[in-house]
Amino acid sequence: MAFLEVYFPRNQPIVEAIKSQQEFEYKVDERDWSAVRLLVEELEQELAERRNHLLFRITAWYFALKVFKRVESEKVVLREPNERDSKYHRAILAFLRGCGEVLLVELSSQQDIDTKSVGISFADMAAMVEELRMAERELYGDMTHSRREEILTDVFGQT
Amino acid sequence: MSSDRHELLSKILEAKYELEICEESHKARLLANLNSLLDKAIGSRNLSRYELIEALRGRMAAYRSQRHKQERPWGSV
Repeated sequence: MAFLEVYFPRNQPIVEAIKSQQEFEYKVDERDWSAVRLLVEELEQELAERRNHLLFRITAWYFALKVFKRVESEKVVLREPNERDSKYHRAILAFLRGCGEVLLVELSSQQDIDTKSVGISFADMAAMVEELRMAERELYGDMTHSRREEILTDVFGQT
Repeated sequence: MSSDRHELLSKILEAKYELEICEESHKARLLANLNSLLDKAIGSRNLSRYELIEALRGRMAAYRSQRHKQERPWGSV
């Protein structure tokens, strides 16, 4: 996994390496989904081949999620996404949510592995996956406008 | 809308936003807080948390936009 090795020197704790990437400022432009896609492709291969330790795969997922969130903020949250952005966002969101669920299942069955050694507790990782589930429903659920208004009126009264 | 229900709606929007922007080490705690507020709003209704989140789509988008403008008045980048 050469791409990630560039960013995770082997003699440096992985989460510290990730945090240091906050200094890795790159300009957000039209190529950003490509960066996320590259990470996602690497992650997909990792999950399929199970070459590396589970903690490594969790860290790869975590890093891909961080890059995704950053691009998401600029392209989906801070402005109205165009069709292309929405398609990429929806697909990658679903992929990262699915990967997170798989990793949680693997973690649950390996009680000798503690994710705290890479700086994330199991509970926080589970919450990150749940947040992705919520985001999928909020942004891409198929509830009609009238049903949404009906629920809001029922729960909160006239809004 | 009664002031109590308005306050609960505001708390849910704020809790969801805080969950979205927080450090990873706070995710579990802030998710528990959001779920608690969602459960309070749902009460005994036959409604799931996900359905309520989906119903709040427009309100949440407006709230996010408002918070971003407050926190990053200089622009998006």
